[in-house]
Amino acid sequence: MIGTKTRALVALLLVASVLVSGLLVAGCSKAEKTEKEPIKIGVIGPFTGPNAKPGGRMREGIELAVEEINAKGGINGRKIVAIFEDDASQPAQSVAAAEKLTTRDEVLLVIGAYNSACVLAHMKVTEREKTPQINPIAVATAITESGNKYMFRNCATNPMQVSQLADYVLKNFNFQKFAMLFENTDYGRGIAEVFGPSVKRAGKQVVAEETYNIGDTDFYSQLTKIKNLGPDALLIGGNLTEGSQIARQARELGLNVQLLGLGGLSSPEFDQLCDGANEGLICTSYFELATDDPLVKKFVEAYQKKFGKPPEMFAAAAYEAVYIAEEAIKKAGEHKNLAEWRQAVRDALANIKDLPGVQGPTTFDEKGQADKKVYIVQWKNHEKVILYPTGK
Amino acid sequence: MQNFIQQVMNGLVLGSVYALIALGLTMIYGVLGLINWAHGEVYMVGAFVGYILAVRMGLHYFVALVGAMLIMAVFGIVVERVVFLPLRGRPNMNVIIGTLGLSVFLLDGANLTMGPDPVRFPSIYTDQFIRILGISFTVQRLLVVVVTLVLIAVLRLFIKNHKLGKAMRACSQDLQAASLMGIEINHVAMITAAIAASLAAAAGTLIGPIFLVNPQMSIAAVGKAFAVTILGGLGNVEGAVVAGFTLGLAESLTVAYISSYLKEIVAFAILITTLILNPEGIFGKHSVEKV
Amino acid sequence: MKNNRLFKILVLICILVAAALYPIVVQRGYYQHLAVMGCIYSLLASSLNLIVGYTGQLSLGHAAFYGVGAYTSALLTLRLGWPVWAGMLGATVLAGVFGVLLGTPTLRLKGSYLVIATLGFGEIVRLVLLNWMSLTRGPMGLTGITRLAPWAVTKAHYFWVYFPIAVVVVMLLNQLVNSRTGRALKAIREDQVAAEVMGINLAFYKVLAFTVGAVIAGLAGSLYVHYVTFVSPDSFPVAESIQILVMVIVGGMGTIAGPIIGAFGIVFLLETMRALAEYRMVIYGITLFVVIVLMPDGLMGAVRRVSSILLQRGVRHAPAGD
Repeated sequence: MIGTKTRALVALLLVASVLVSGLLVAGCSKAEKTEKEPIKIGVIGPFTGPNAKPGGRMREGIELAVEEINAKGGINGRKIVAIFEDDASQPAQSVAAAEKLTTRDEVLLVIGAYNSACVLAHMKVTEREKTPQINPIAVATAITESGNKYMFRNCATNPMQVSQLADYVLKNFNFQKFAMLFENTDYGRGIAEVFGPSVKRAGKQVVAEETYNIGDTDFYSQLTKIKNLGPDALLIGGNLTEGSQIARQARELGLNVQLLGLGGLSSPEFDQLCDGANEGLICTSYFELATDDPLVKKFVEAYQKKFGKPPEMFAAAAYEAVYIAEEAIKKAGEHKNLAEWRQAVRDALANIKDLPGVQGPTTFDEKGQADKKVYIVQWKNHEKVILYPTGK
Repeated sequence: MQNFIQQVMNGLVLGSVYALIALGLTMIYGVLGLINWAHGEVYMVGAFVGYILAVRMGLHYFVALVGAMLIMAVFGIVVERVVFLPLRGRPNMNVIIGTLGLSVFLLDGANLTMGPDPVRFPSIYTDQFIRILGISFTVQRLLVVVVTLVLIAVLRLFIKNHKLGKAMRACSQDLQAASLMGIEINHVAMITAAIAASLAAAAGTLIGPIFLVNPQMSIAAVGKAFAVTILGGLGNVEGAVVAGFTLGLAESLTVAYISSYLKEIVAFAILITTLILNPEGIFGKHSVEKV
Repeated sequence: MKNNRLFKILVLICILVAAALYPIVVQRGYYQHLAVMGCIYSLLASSLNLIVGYTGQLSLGHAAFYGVGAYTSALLTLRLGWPVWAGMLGATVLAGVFGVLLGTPTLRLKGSYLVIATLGFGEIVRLVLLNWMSLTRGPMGLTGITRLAPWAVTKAHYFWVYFPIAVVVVMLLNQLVNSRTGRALKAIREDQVAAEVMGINLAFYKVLAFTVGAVIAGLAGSLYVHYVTFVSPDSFPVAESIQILVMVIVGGMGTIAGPIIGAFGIVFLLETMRALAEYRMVIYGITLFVVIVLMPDGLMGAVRRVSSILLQRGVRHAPAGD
């Protein structure tokens, strides 16, 4: 019988390798934990892909906060380490990242992510693993409305920001026709779903609702269509990579209308990528450098020293999230069992009251949402002018 | 009407890029009989080379364009020697996996060396506008279309009249016969790979200033390039050009008159329809399979 | 002959026992997660192997069947409240229909044309999932999908259900390829024209291969969603089809064990390579190229060659179907 021995050999090899690899892996995982092992914090964010830039800022904010906390001696005598997992702005990758952080790295707490779609996808994993999560950036309403007891958010939600922007614009300008060009995601749709009705309630018109997908580069077709409808203002419902292209291409097409935007469009990266096309654009912002708050001043100084550039909102939000985590972990105390420890941290988070931070004080409501203020700013000659609140 | 003309112009710009990328893909298939799954990455690397020459080294835009094309021609030859040669004559599956290995290598190599962040690639022509008949575009966009047409014309002359061009045509008709006729197949293979890579570099350097440059730009490009290549007929140079412009216009007009949702589907709908109705492409004739 | 059979059964029992013990020995949730994904990818790779390895029809649209299965099962359980098993059944049926839909119009296509057609098919399915907002919620995906069963809490539970499913499906596939039908498929792979002359109905068998392959991929999709409980279109890009094909080819196509080794091998290899950090994918790319140049018929082919040299036997040329 030709091949009998061959097959036997192959099969034996197979079984042996399965057993050996199983034992090897088991050996690794059974390593005894030492007493003062550092506290692990998992971070999910887009470190590659279309939102790699803001993702990088987010990472820097976290690195800085971790360094500061460790320099002070850590939390309850333990150092902390941040484990970063990339989701490339893709929900499925985000789920895998959450899966890895909660079950392989066994982190105490998760911070992240950037895209609402990603958080909505992976929050089921952190909830299942009963791991507390602080979400510093993703703004979709559903994140804190789904009854997830382990989710906390230290930034203003989409509706909070968008209605503030809409109110400001409708009150201060006499625009009649509005156009919206937004990202085809929870984030973009969430913006359109609040902005559109606000405009209509004020008796004004929405003349165009166009969409695009993350990663798109050419918006001439959509913008040409919008131009022909003659709006007074264009709301860009998206992030900075695509947002900057839209602003530039709008200028190229001679679409000279008031541009409006949210969150990400107030960052210096956006300004750089726009190359001047953002002149006059009005947008919301969670964080501004030009305030008297000593916490902000200290943060700006330390960030400038470490990274050689001033921080922006995503760095600030992520930085603040680490300090919120620090407070909760400190209050939660030591626990031998990871599940109990996670639960204690969650309960401590829920009880946080008026914790000072670089984006203002944090108090979580019963849904895990913090009541945060937003600024309204306008780009003028590569600088931001604060329009609201006035007097700052 | 204004809307229509503007959208046609938009479509021509997209079409130029599709045509330039698809030309390389179709030439490599025609001559070497293999599909290069890393061609989108070659285009991306070309855009980065153009960016480095123009922005980091401060060369004039046209010098950077020509420089990128030359550097990428050498790159194409290296790829032919190192990757295509060992795969030549191998079954389809091996070619797919082999060139795919190259594609993963180039994509993540770019992530590693250039970083994942998108970068601006400003050229002097991105801030000059042309406004006529109520339509508006930058000089850079016009440049994309004009340079593409010039490159296509030069390529056509080369293939029709130059000795090597003729050799390429002979190889694409019958590699074995061409070899028997004394054509040095290795030379032809290298020249083809060089031209394909330098056309991709031209596409990257032309389009870079209009959009942004980042490693991920290769992914969207390659799907479209396949659709164009099939519509024009695999291995058909004229077909790739016509099909490139057709797809660009179809996409742009779809957004204008139907919906922006459908923009990405157009390419693949065209692809499948062509394959079902006439796999040889719009210019193809049915060939009878020989036993 | 008898010894051979006995040995096979022995090996099978060994594998089953090892698998049953795996989640107990390996406590780390993440390695259990990889094992569950290994089972799902084994189904995908084995089903693609039927199309590519046994019938010789090179397809890059397999992720489409996977996606159709995943979405069908998710929507049936989520929107219509069907039980999970019924969702799975629905997923396999609809994926099978898509198999016929892809198999029939592409009958005339060969080689590169077939590859690109299947690639286009995969992209269209993904784009429809992405843009049919009212049904699929587009890029946001579907969340809160029913878990496999109320008692399926840990990853070990999933592994203990999915691994036997994978084993049974692979054994059925083994029966199929060694049957009269399997011989017809292999004949088509070796020489279409000759097969036709011998009276094999090309159209029937090709569509059959696509359909059976699609049904199994649909099942895999269903297993995937009830495990991850989330699904979005970007789980099914062309890259996913390519990944499955890599598993088949690197493992050794046209063999039963090859795709399974490829599936588990690549899932665990990519994980082990995390130690290489940012160099991981760069090195993976080079590895793929080197493997395919040095081992054109995959690991199984290489193993067979090496062992036949060791045992001083002649190399059997055609891939063994057993």
